[in-house]
Amino acid sequence: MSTGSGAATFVDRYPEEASIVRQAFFVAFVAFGLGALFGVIQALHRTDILRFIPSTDYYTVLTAHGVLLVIVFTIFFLVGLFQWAITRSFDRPVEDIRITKAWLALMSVGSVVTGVTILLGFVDEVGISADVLFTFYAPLQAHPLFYAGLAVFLVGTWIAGADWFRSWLAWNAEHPDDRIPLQAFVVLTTMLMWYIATIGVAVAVLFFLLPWSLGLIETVNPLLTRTLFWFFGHPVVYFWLMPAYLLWYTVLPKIAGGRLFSDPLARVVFVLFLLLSTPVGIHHQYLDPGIAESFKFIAMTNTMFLLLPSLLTAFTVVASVEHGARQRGGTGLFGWLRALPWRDPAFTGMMLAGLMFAAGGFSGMINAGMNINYLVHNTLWVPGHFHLTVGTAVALTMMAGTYWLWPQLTNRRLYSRPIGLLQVVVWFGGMALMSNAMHVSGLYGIPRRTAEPQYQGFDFSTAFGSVAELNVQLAIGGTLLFVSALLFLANLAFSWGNPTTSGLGQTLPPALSGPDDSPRVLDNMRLWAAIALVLVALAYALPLGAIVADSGLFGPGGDAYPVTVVLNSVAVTAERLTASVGATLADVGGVLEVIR
Amino acid sequence: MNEGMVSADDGATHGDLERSVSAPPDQADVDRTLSHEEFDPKGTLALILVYFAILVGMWVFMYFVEFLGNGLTVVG
Amino acid sequence: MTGNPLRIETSGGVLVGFVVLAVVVFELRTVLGMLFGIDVSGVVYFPVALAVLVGLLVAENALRSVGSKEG
Repeated sequence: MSTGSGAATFVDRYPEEASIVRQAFFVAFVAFGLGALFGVIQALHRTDILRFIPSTDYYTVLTAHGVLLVIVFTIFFLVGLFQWAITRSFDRPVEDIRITKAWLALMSVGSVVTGVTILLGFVDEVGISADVLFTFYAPLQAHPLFYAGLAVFLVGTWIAGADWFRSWLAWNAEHPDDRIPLQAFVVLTTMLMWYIATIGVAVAVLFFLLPWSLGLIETVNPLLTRTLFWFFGHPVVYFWLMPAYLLWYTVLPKIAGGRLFSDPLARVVFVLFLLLSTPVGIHHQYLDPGIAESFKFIAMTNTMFLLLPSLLTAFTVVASVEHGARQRGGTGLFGWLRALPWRDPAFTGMMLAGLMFAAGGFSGMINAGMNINYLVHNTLWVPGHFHLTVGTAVALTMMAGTYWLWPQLTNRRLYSRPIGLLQVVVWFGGMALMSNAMHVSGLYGIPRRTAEPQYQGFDFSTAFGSVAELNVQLAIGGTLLFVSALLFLANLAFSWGNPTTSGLGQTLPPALSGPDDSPRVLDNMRLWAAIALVLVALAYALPLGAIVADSGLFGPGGDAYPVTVVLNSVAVTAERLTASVGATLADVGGVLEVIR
Repeated sequence: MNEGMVSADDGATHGDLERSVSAPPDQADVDRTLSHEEFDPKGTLALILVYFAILVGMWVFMYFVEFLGNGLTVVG
Repeated sequence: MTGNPLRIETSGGVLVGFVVLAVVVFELRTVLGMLFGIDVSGVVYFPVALAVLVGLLVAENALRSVGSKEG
């Protein structure tokens, strides 16, 4: 039985929409290439293997790496994928292509403005910089263009969401009794989550950081902007993850030769993410003085509940793959794993991404524990964790998904599937090395966000091996990842040279247990959005109120830090940091104390 | 060795469709169809139990050895 | 296995299996070090581990060609 091979492709049926998806992917992959380059520079620099930039430029590199990969790459891929999913699953063209083009243009302009502002940090003569890292809260201050670009980008994503809701309303008018198709369901719940999440960052940028950077207001309250950032900063990780989940739930079962095990279970998962993604952000602030322990405890409880949808996903997705394996003739308790299409880079990439996500789930549990977090806070463990989650579960799934989507979007074959397979396997191996080294280094207390984590008169003590060995591991891993990224981009570039072919279309099979097995209330977007807002209000009203009551909307005063460190005044800068920001950054101060 | 075997198989089924020596574009063909009732995901259960065991083991280590086992860090 | 040419254990499957096994073997040293406090020198461990893995790969390949002749 051939499931739909030879059918019309997406680009055959919706050429204009396919063009939008391709453009979004193009921006995503340009950002991916640049971000990967900055990644390998850091890996080699901080391990002291190869240092060809001055350490003062490290934060420019780090900011570019973070913003280009977790804002530009992931979110442009997301909007491309979601446009494909909406058009495909509603089986209708966009309502007005001009709107669709407009939001893509807005997002692109915003990204370019923000990206260029960051990169200008390399050119001292210009005097423009934005070395504020992806976590761009005060007291770090960027040039106004950084915030302005971000705001334009955000508005673009909001219009994109509205565009998809409009498609849903139009479709619903014609199909009043139908259940929302699963792919569209994922898009709609994810965008509701995004609207709620971005309230935090929009308020932080528009009311505080941008006016502050423009000089319209003298000071901001650092704890307030931090808390508003993390209001957005945790749900954004699920915003990155949902495109990967969309591919795992709707594409992976198909390429495994099976069908999704349960559509109702999938809907429950996405509703849970909508409800629980936002009221957990304070778990990034366990060590922030100024937030009462009880609020942190609530955030921890919500976070632990958030493990549930990920565990449900592990079950549903693996069961769907097992269904494929058994349909392909697989037998035995574990023997069915041998019957899977491991030669297919799309399949293998997604499976390896899922395996890494399972490991990331463990380190995430450690991060989420209020007490045990002290063990790893601000250490290299944390980047080790999120390179497993966003850096592999998300990024590798996106690359693997691209291998499957490519013919659907272009009518061209992939240049080489063996190179694709090699690429995903190299990513997996490279990440295993780098992430392992990062986790272990973190347990030894080696800090994150540091250009030169080696100090005079102080050595990190290791339980086994040595710091030098971990550094080599990290550098080799980072280099392998960079090679893998180049293989991916080159494979795609060469694929563009392939001739167009007809009959490449693929269809997605329906779920084993369909949407009709679930109650209709699951499709009630208004209800879930309302409950999500209530949960957010419960989790955030009191802590935000307390922060403002303690030190006011604009804080107790203090200097901004446009991190333009003069080479030999690092120590002075550190002094000023500890002295004037005081309470809010006490944990940073603590690290500096240890270093001295 | 293996490479030759793989491309020979592709040649028999999909070789004419691919410019490169590679797997067929669609490996999703199935032997048999399993319905929801016929399919019992016991392999999935086994994998998840293995994962859970590893998770518990590592958490116990992190909490009791790394976290409680290390002394206080007094700064200043 | 079955008569379907898509279902044979492909070199792709062997590659993926090998890399996953290699990662597990690599992590075993971390487990030994962190959990059991056994400090195995990397200079010894990694070459030995690599030799074992390559040995397994060669053995697997030999077994497979014997199997396919019989089948």
